[in-house]
Amino acid sequence: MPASPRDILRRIRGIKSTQQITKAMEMVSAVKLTRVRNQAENARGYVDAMGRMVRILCTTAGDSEHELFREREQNTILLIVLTSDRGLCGTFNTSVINAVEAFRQEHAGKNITFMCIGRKGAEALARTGASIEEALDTPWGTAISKEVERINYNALGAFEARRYDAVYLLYSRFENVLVYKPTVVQHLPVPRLSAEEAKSLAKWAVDFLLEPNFDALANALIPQYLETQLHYALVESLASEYAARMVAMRNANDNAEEVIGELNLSYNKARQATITRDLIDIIGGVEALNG
Amino acid sequence: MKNTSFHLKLITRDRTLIDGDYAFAVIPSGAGPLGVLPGHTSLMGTLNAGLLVLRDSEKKETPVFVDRGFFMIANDAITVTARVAELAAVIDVDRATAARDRARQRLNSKDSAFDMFRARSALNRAEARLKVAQSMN
Repeated sequence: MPASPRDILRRIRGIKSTQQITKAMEMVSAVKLTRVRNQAENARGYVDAMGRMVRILCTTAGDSEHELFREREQNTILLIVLTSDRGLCGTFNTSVINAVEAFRQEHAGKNITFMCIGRKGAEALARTGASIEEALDTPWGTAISKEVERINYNALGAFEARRYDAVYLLYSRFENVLVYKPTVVQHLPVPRLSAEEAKSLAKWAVDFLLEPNFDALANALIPQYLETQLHYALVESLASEYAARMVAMRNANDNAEEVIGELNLSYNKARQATITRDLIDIIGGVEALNG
Repeated sequence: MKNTSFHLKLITRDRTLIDGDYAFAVIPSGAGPLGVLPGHTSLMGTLNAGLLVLRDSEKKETPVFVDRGFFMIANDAITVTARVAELAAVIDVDRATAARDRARQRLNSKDSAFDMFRARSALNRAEARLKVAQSMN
């Protein structure tokens, strides 16, 4: 039996109220996206500059190599995974979790411990029985710096105490509103230069004076650089999340629009059908009286 | 021909504060103030909380307060990265004075509940800020 006009109206109203929510969420995401996107772009210049210094420092190292540059056999690994706290953001979290799986396969046989920033990642990983050292909600606003400092400090401590042989970051790199890529970065030990990079830097990085000396500079610079890198990853991940949510909500909005259009059509049809039926009844009655 | 200027970029986490050509700079390096002229040798080092002075070819000076950072000089290009960088003109003198007094009080109190290292660096920071602000007047 076709739905009555009144039922259809009720559905239209329901969808409209959902649409109001998705519209609001889209707008909120758009505003937050602009904010973190600026942060990400500015942080990129800073992290690049720090990275260049660290790499040059690495070329000057010569024989005396710093502990944080030194590769060990990677038996125990800490993977810091950045996801969102909330859903409704399309494939954002799924793609990160898939990347985690790929990472696990790549490092099969290794002892991987996780640290989750973002509730969704922690939930998904807990279901797979992964060993999670710490799970926390995504920090926001002024809490970001504090949390980043603490996480970086702990990771450094654990690496130096040889609890982990390597620390990796897995975050979504923001490319544009439609594209974000789950990216793995080796956090510790600080990756060595590739031969090409070393060559291109060596041209002008020879005879660098270091002040006060290599060790003191490395001890100050590298932790700061790592903190910057972690901060940058977090901001990029946030930008990707808001972009993903904005797009997902816009799609939901468009879909709602479409469904409402269809329902309007069936509502009009159903209404016309009742009118026609009533008219036939009346005409039939009149005919019968006249007959 | 010898260069008469070098390029200096001052970058913080939030923005690029300075990006321009200068003839002379004083960098508050970890080993003390360091004067830089064009053609300086390649050098990398740490920053102290203090005054970064930039002088352009017209002898106009720009004082900036910087803290927690690093600098690199190479090929007449200087990169300064700092967690804190404030143009002297925007320093909040009242706030810095209050911070200085608070830090002094903590250092003078015999109460070990305060982290003396933090108090001392807070004092250094506040004094450096005030010095930068006063250099404007």
